[in-house]
Amino acid sequence: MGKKVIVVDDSKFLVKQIVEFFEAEMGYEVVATGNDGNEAVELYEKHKPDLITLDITMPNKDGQQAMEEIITKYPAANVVMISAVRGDTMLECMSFGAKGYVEKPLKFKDAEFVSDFKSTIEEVFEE
Amino acid sequence: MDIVKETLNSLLRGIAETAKETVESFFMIDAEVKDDWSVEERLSGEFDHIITLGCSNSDYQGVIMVASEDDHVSAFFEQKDELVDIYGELANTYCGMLMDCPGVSEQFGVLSQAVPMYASKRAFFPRAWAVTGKVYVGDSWIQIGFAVRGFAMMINR
Repeated sequence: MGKKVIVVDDSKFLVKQIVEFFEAEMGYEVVATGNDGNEAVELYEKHKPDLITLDITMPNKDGQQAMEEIITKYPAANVVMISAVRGDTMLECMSFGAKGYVEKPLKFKDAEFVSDFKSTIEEVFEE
Repeated sequence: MDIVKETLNSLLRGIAETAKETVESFFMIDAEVKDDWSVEERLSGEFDHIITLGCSNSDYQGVIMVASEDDHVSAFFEQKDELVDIYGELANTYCGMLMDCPGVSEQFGVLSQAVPMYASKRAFFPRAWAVTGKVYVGDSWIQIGFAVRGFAMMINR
């Protein structure tokens, strides 16, 4: 059975692309989507998915805060950040326990990008 | 000469090329930049659609602008009802890619992003030097801008 995934990004345009990636390329089941950090925490608690992806720059509560809340409460949570944010944020997220960090733009028509993205997700479950 | 203006002049081509790369990778289309990119004393202009996205660190404050006229939109994407969402994400992505543009984060540091905001008709960000120009697909274009000012500069003016 495919893994259960939650996708959270404040851009509905990108949510659609990420959902399509998980369903078509990975064979995963996207059980819910959200648009801010508050929804991310609520949806994680409701669905307990195998994986949640979080954008960082979002209204109400950013993805880094949501990641910290989720991992504090569920230390085994698999969280992958998908963000355009550069700098120390990647290290901060990985140090806290995020399992991956994918930098935007998401080039879903670029075979190399798709391959790298798939590898990042697969490595989450190999740890 | 103002250090921000001088820096932006030296980075002008790279910032324009980064705008092109952002549009190409975001919309997965071929785009081009022409010779209309310039450094200006403020970010301003009138457009049908404008998204601005603030970004800052302890030393600098910046604004990313993505703007267009209504009849140019369809060359880039079909989902016109999602324009605010799409331009916001484009601005967010451009800000991130600018931090990878050689010279930008070395000079200004990494600028943390705020969430995008929509405005109609007029963009205006004063007391800041700005790089702005168009990214074309055929004859259609999206106007993209990056304005930045140092906090010390604001105090001294």
